[in-house]
Amino acid sequence: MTTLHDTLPFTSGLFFQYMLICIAVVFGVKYVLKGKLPYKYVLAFLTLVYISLLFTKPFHLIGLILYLYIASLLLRKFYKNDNLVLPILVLSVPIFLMKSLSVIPATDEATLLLTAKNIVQIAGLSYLVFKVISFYIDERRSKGVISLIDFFNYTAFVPTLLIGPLDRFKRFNTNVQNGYDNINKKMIGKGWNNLILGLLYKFIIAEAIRRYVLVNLVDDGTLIYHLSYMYTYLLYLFFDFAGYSLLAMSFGNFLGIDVPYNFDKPFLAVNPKEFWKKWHKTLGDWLNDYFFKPIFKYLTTKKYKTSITRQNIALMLTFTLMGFWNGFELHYIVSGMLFGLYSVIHNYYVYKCKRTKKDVVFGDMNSKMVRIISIFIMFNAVAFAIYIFSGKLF
Amino acid sequence: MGMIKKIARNTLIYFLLILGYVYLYAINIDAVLNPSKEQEVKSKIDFVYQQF
Repeated sequence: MTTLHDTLPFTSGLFFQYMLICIAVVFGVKYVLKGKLPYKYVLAFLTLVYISLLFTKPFHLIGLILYLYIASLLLRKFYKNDNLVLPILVLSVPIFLMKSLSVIPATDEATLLLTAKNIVQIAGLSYLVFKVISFYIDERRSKGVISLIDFFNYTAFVPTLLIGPLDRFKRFNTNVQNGYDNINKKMIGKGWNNLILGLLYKFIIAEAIRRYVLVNLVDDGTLIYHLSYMYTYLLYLFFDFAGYSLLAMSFGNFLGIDVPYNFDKPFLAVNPKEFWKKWHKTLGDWLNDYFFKPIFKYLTTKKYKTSITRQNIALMLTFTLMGFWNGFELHYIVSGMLFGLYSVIHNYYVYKCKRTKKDVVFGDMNSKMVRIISIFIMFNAVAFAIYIFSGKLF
Repeated sequence: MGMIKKIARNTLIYFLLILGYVYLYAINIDAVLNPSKEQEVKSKIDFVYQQF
């Protein structure tokens, strides 16, 4: 049973009640108090109420936010080098600790280890650190001190706290500065549409798939079983995660924040590049901006081999890193590398097509047919990579 | 999106939402169909959010 201090976003009725109170407060301040209380203080207060009363480890989360704020503040002030490796490592310390401690088996005797695990395992930690890395990289050259309130609102914004969508500081802060003006008919309409679709995806379709298909599959070790699990798990994951993201967008909209979208018909993607623009888009963009591009730039400055080789190395490293981020377990790492391999194959295919000025795989085939075949290949490739990710195979 | 398409889409979404709510939550259809079956209280799947 969910209790106070155990209410993660969108996991219980209590959370929805809290969100409704937040919306009522924000609307009340806007329409009854005529916006006399500054929006960002109201938002910070409501976030603090959630963390203090409902979040699993309030002091741990506050401590983490303070660490990241002070670290990014000091880095902005004293670190003037263009090399981003050190700042990223400093800001990523909590992730490294959490991921490495999670793979060490703890026994009852290892109380120190258990204490360490308890300290660093904070729900939403990865996303929080990712947000701060993008904050640091984007804002490191900007003038002035970014206030703790603005930083707190951005990092701990409740609807996106646990698993995104990953917002950017500049975009988020523009919404916060617009304050109550952002709570208008258009935004509320958008929020309502996202809410209805999110509820349908997460609590009806994903739940029905889980309850009536996924948990009833009998593992008899046959290929049919593994294929059934693979496709069902993919659909379950999509509807659950996309539903979650829509709900996060929806409550963001109701509070005046235009949270970016995360999923957009991903199973119609024709290649890996398009897939990452449609599936968990904010993470795909984040990896592209803060890992792929800097790695590629670094390899270019070192004049390392040809452009296509540099791109492929950067792609493999980026997706392998994504695998490690998911967890240090083998299935996460292999799944990440597999996604990297898909991207490398596609990248090489595009390169070859450009060089030879013809489609080296499909030749003169009808473009509609090419599209259908591409969607089919991509869907199955994704299903296999997600199947590996699920940990069912090893 | 055309008006008719929008209305059709919304009708479908609301219909599925209400039907799903009634079927999955309002009446426990499993308990009605299989009264002797032990009801599952927890997912058997390793929930994907564990990684976060």
